[in-house]
Amino acid sequence: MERLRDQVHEADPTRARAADLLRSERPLPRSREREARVRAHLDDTRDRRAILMLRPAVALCTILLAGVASALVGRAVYERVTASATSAEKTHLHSAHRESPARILEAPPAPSLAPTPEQYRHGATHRSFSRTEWHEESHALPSLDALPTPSGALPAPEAALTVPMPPTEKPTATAPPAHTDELEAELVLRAAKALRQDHHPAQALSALENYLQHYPNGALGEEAWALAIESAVQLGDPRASYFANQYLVRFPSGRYVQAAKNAQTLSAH
Amino acid sequence: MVPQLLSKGLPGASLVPRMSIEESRISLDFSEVYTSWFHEVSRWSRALGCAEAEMDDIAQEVFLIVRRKLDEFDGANLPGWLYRITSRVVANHRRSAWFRNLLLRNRDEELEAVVYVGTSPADSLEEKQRREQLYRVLKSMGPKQRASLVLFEIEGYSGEEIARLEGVSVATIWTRLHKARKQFLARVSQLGEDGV
Repeated sequence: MERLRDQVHEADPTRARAADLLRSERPLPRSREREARVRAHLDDTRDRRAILMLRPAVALCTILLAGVASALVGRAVYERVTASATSAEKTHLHSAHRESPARILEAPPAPSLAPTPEQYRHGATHRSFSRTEWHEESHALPSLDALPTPSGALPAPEAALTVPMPPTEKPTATAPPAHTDELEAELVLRAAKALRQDHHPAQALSALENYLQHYPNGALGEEAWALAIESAVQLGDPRASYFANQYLVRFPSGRYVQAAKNAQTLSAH
Repeated sequence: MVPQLLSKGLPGASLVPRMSIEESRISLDFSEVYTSWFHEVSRWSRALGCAEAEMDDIAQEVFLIVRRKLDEFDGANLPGWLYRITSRVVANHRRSAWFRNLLLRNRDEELEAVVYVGTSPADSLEEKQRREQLYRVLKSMGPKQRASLVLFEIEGYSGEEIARLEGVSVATIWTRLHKARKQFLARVSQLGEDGV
C-alpha cells in the first residue's frame, strides 16, 4: 500500500488535500534532551515503588478513618434527629390530649350531683389527708358557678403529687417515654370525662389521685391538680383546700390560680 | 543481527531502534531498554492521540511501569509489550484529561499544543492551520484507525511493524489502514475551504 502522503501529484482534490495535510506533520524527531529529562524524573521517582506498595495500607487506613468519622457523624445526627422527633411527638401528644379535656372542661358542670362530705368520708380511700385543714361545718356544697372553670386549652405543665408531698419539690425536666404520656393523658382524660360528662366527681377524684400518685412529675400535673380541686369542691371534700394549697405552691402563676383561691376561700368558710 | 523494526526508505526508518527481538530476550536491562525504546514510545504515544505537551508525562509513566514489571516480562516481543503499556497509559491519561477538562475547563489541549514551525510568519500560519486541520480530522477518527494511520502515514512504520506492535495479523492492519484512509478522506472532504 502506497502512503497517501507520498502521492504528490494526485488528481483527486480530496486525496491531494489529504496528502497535503498528512505532509504537514513530520515524524517525531528524536530529542536527547527530552530523553534525559524524563530519565531524570524517573530516577527521582525511584522510591515510588515503596510508596505504591504502601498504597493498600494507606487506602485501608483511609477507609477505616472515613468509616469511623461517618459513624460518629451519623450517631450525632441520629441522636439529634431522635431528640427532635421525641420532642415533636411529645408536643403533638400534648396538643392532641389537650383538645379533648379542653372541650370537656368547658362543658357545663353538673350543679347538684356531688355527694355530701359525710358520704365521701365513708367511701374515701385517700391515705394521708389531714382533716384539720378542713372545716367541715363550713362545707355547704360549693356551687361550681363560684369556681371559675379553667378556660382555654389545657397547658402542658409539670407537677408532682404524692399525698402529702413536699410543696417545694419541682418537676424534673426528664422527658417520659411516649407510652407513659399516653397513660398519663388517659388518666386525666378519664377524670375530666367523669367530672364533666358523667357528672361523677368521686370517680374523677379517684382517677386524679391515681394519676398524681403514679405520675408525681406528670406532664398534665397542673390540669390534674385543677380537676382535683374542682372534684373535691363538688364532692364537698375537705381535701379541696389541701389541693388548692398544693396547686398554689406548685403553680403560683398557673392558669387556675383563681380557681384554687376560690376553693381556699370556700373551704375557709 | 537483523533489526526487526527497521523500516526501509521511510521517514522514520533511521530512528527505529537497532534491537532485535532475539536481542531483547537476552538483555533486558532497564537502562538499555530505556535508551533503545524511549523515542519509539514517544512516537507511539503521539500516534495514540497524546498531545506533545503530555509526551514527557506519558513516557515517564510508561517507563515507570516498565521498570516495575521488567522482571516479570518473558522477553517475547518487547516492542509489542511496550506498545501495549503505552496504549494503556495513554488511554488512562486521556480519561483523566477528560475529567480534568470536564471539571476545570473546556479546552482543546491537543490543538493548542500544536507546535508552529516555519520559515516565515506566513508559512508558520499556513502550517499551523494545516496541522490544526490534520489533528481535528484525526481526533474525529476511532482510536485504532487513528493509531494505524498515524503510524503508517506519518511515523513511517510498515504494515508488518504495526501488526507486530499491536499483536494482530498483517491482513488486519491492512484492512484497518484501508478503513482508516477511507474515513480520513471522508473527513477531509467534509472540511470547508477555511478548514473548519
